[in-house]
Amino acid sequence: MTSEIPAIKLEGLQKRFGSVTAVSSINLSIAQGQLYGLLGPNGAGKTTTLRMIAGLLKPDTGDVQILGQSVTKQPKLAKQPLAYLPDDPLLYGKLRPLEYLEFVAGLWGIDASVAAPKAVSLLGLMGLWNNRLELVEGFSRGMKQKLALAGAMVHEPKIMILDEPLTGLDAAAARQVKDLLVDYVKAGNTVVLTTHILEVAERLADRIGIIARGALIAEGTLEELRGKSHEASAYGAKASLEDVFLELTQAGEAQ
Amino acid sequence: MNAVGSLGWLIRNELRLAWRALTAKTKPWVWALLIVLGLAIVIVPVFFLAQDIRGKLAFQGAPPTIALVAAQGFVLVTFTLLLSGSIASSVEALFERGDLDLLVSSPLDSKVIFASRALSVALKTFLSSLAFVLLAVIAGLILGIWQILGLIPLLAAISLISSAFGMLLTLGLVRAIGARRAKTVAQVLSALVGAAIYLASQSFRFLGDSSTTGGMTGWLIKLFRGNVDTSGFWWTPARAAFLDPLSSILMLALGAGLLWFTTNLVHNTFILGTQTATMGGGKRLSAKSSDSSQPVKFTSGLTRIVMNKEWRLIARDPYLISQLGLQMLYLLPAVFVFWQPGSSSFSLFGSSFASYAVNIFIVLLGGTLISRLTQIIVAGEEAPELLAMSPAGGENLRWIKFAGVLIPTILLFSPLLVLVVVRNMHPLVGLLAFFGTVLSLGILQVWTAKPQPRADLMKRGGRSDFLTGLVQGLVTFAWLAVVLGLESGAWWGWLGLGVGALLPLVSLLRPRSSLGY
Repeated sequence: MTSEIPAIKLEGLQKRFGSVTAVSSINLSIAQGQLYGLLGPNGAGKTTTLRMIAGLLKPDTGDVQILGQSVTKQPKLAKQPLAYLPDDPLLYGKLRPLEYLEFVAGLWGIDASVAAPKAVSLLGLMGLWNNRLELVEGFSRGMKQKLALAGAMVHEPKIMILDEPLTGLDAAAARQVKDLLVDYVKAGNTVVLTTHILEVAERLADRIGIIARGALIAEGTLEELRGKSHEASAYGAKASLEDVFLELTQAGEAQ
Repeated sequence: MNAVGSLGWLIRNELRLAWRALTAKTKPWVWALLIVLGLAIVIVPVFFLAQDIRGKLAFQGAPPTIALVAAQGFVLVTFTLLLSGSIASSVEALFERGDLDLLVSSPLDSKVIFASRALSVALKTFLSSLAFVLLAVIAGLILGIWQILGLIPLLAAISLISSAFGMLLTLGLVRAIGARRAKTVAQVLSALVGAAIYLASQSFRFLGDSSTTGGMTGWLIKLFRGNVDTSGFWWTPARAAFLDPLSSILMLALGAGLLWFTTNLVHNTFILGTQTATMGGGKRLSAKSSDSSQPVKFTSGLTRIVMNKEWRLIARDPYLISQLGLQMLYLLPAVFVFWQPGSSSFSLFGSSFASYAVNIFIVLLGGTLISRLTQIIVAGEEAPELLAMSPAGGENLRWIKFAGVLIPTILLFSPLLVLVVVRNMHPLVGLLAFFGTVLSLGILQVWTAKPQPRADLMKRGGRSDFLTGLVQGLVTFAWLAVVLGLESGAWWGWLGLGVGALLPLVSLLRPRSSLGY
């Protein structure tokens, strides 16, 4: 059964940069149709993990599977249902928004007759339709972020990996993107996102993984995470994700 | 110590940043070694080889006319080159430095901020040419011409003047056409100004303007007879080059005055330009142009989409086009050596010079164009990670990008290729050499180019390792040997063909450089 295959499966994932261990033996399975929040302090290894999932970094040991396909062994098959939005958007300054979306759709082999209306709809949704004849180099940070998000969605991926997707967005745009992600997951797709705004993860994520010093120190639903935190247990159901996060990561740092 | 927030304090900060930039990739001891080597290369030969003429060139009192003419020429060439450099530095100071927001938002006086930037541009301009001038000064001192010390204050004065003009021009453009366009136009202008003297000299040479040539010849005859009046005001820069006290003071005062005037005149425009550049200022659409009823059509097929993207990125980058165009122009004299009037009377390897001209032209220009364009498009990819995470495959995309370079290059050269077939005596050799060159050099670049930002590729002419550069040079020589050798029936023409065709294939055996996609 397709739905039984995890959207993303990490097996013994490890990555070192010189003497620094960026990611240390992470095992994780993310089911299809979930919004998964990956949290951690700065430099914890979140982005390295996401880049290995997207096939941009080769793990030293271990493997990443996307819908059952190994990113290292069958990269083309594994990348087809995947979209990755890094924290610094990948855009071309001298292209116009529709040209950019046409290019991204082409990279994923989407037919022009399907890609064009999808691109138009995404530009409308992101509030960029009136800017469609401008060059991207003149866009603000938020506009670039929205266009990059449209680029991630134009080929209708089943799995989206988003690194700080709300960076640079104003309140209205951030709300718009959050609603969009929720609808996207409701349609059976999977989203993995990192964010420093813990409230976002608390409100949106079905499950949460906490990374510290390259290791996955806790993973589960918010309720399950509360159970793993002594301080949060004292607060009971009132403990926020922030309380849980700070206790778990500070304990991780102390070790 | 300079007071915090003063002009001296800001300049000290500028100097510290400049020093860090200078020593970031090259250690200070390497610079010292280069300077010592440079000095040795000039001093040793001048000292030993010029024993006979030492002292004979020395003079007391007014410099000879020919020396003043040479100095005036030096001033003209130096001013043009430094103006080009100072426009480029102004663009950097105005648009590209990341710390302007911080300075402009601070309570510092905008005039002080602008003055520090203007002075740093002038200092950078001065230092960029100081090494060459110092070599000339040392050579002059060895020959007994102590007055040549005047070149140093003269260079300082020219740096101040060119920086003032560079800043004025760049900020004038900001006022006239807006910050974003001003940046592009200033970059193009910088490239053109830098080439101005060169282009003028080549146009005199090749356009064959008899009146100009005649005028120049007559003037030179007058000069050697000593009939040129060099006492006028316009000869002040030349006199300053030989340490005439009044002329040197006048030139320095002119430079300092112009920079002071520029600072007072345009420091407010400077702030405005900075803010406009930071804000983006993208063109807004009119209500009519934002009509959503127009159907949107996309292109199908990876190859066409990738090529379209690459062509758009190049066509919308006037600075890149101007740089490429200038590189082509700089090659023209090498070709005109074979193409000048009367060259048909000279022969090389049994054939006239002229018969080789078109084929050499297409090999040199075609090779340079394909090499630079392939490097820009393959190595200067702006979003390598987007390509890397797509299922299209990096290898596949590299070759599509190369095809995207090859097609316009062939189209651009097609009129010349027709000329080769119709008019040339050796059309097969010409076509073989052209296609061989563009394919060989293109493949070399696809395989060996190293990733770097597109803007840096144009600024520094690209980065390639010694071996790659050597192979590229060998391949170009090999295809030139094909032209000269096969046309004249020499055996080494076939050797050239073998080397030109096989070397790029050998390069495919080397580990491929990582481009991030």
